[in-house]
Amino acid sequence: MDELLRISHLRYRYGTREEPTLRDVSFTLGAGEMVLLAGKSGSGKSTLLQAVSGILRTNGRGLLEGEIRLDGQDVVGWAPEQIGLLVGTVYQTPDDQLFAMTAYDEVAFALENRGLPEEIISRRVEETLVRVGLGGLGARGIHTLSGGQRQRLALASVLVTDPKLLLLDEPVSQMNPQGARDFLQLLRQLNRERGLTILLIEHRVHELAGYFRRILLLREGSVCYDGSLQGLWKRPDLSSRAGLRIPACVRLCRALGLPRCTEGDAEMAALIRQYCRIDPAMPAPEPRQGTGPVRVEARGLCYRYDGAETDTLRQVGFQLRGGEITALMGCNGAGKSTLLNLLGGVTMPERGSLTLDGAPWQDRLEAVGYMRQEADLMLLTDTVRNEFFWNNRILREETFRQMTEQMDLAPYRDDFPLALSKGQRLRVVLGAILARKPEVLLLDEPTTGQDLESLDAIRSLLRAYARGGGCVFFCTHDVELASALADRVLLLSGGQTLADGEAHRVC
Amino acid sequence: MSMRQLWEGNDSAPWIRHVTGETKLLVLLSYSVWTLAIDNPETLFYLFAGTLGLHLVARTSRSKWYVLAILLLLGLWGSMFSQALFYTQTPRTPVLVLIRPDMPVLGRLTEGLFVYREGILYGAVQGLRSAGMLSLGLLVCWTSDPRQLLQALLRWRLPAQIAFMLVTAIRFLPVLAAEAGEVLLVLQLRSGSRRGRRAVLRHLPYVIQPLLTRCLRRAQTLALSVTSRGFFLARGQRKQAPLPRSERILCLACLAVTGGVVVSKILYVLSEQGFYWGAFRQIYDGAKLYL
Repeated sequence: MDELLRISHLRYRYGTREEPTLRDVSFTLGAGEMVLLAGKSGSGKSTLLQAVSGILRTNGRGLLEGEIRLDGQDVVGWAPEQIGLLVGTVYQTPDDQLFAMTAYDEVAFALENRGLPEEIISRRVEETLVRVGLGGLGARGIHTLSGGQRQRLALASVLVTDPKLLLLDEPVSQMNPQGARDFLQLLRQLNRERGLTILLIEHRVHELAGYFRRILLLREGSVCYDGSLQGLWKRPDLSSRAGLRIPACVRLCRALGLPRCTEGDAEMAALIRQYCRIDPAMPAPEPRQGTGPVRVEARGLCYRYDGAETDTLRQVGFQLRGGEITALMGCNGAGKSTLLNLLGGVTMPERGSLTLDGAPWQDRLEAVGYMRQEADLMLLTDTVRNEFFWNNRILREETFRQMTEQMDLAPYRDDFPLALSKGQRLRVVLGAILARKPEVLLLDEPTTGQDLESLDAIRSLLRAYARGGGCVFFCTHDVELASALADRVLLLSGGQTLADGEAHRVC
Repeated sequence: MSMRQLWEGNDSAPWIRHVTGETKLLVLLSYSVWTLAIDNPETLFYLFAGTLGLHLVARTSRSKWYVLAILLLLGLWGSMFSQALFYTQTPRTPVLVLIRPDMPVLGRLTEGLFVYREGILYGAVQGLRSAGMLSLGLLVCWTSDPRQLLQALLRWRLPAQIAFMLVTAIRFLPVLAAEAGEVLLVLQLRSGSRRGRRAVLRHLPYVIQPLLTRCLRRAQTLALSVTSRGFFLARGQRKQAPLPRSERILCLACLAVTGGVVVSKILYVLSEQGFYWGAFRQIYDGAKLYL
């Protein structure tokens, strides 16, 4: 395999920091390889990607040392636009990188910049749109496309120039599991059929494991592992130190002491049958159903959006008990967000009743805390302290100090919230909501894009809140999280309740 | 229609979307010169009505008409109301007395508060100027692809960085509008009181910071994205198609009218200062009547 990218002893220190973010990074990437670059927040993944795209040279007054050879040429001194001729970069949020009004124009942009004739542009744009699964959607407005389609469009906008290397910075972190699977399948297809070299950054290794043969693990600015995923699973100390969430199958293999770890369900089942003795008389785990009083009661909730032909929610009913954590699950379009919006007071049900401690919901709205999916948009002030105290008359300094210590936010009390890591930002929002002492806590996809460390912190926070008698109702696609954290699962399908019961039975 | 769609331009008539950025920007610039040069309320009104006519033929959607109407009415009303009350030039004719000068306390403090006829007219002229510009500006914004405008600015030899910055503002308008709605909702959700849950105006001051911060982040990513797609490298390579014949005629007409208006206005002002030439009498008459 020909070598496409060689990074030797790369070191980078941001001008504003004393410690280098990249310490001594060295690795090579062969042409046609598809590699996953993982590591917890702050390990230097995005900085490394920026170094390869040539952005670090122009971004701030940092110090870059070492060598980056791309296709045999040393590109350390190159401008980002020169590197862009060889490297295509796709960022986390498609909305931030798409520029034109229609899908066709977006893909044509890079070719127009190269001054190609209109007929060639037209042919290549159509081909690329078809290649990423957007054939026939060229005339569509960008904002009429779904999130997954927009990310495909972002991919098409760089693929159209046939780059030698494709860099992707957490491209699936905002997608639902199905969308992420489809996108990764597309990348694998591009890699296999067209030999495209791909380097993808993501810390959700447990979800992406099946798509990559090789993983590069960064820890504190250095490559601490470079090899196969199978090899990584054999080193539990390494994966947990690097903040990776290990796939459930692998954890089970380890717990059962199986001779090897696998991510495939069927293979794991075969291994269990071969090496383990299953005792049918073994007792089932104790149910973790909440035993507190019923606090929230919903009966026959119905909701229809303006202009829609059918109800999005149809006769949904459930009860939430004090101290209980309930997960709301279902496919896209099942009505999860609509139900959360009803509970959060954003919209009103058309029919049905909703009560909190027996009182009508609208009279108790101030007792409901609601964390929206885009938590960053919930940060309103310039310090963490101000976030907690914003419009909050009941919070005392002592409580604030305690809370920030519990949430590992104590060193950042006077920091600008949006400058914190993703996990810290989410904890700030959650803390600000909890500081009001809500009786019901609603969370829309609270763990999307979070690394293991942050996930653990969120779990602890929610458990502590529930122990105090509060009701937690969170919407998630993450089955593993739901079964680990929730006492109960409410499963919606087509706007109706499909299942409502103990988490280990429904999941 | 969502907040985002409200600020997007792909629901207008195809013909106006296909007009090049150069033509749109030139018409907009010409119009701005006309509105600055012209003081006649009637002409200004016709110009303003013309922009509304353009919205009609461009098939501006109903939701956008609502937005346009609110912005125009607020602007016009604000301008007329403030000028009607605080018009300082003379002569001025009071048509309504709000506070009599001999009224205890307030009368002495304010020396009377009146609504002046000349103030209303002056406010209407200023209001029509801004309303016309707003109306045409929104039309350009609602019917243009950011790339179209970017190419136009580059053809006019504007530095690529500056052109990019100007167009980014338009690119982010739909996203900003959608996010402003979300931030407002968040502010309501984070309010501790029942009133705060429903309030809108009291939350508005807090909308700016989160929006601005995100906007800066977005702008950085967008800049990186277009840079890596060769935007700044491609200045010499970018293909520059000639303007269609109809647009060339329109642009020339706009330039001619602009030149005519400016020259007529200058001649008229000079004539008022005593620099009068008999040969230009018809121009003086036209300027007095229509400009």
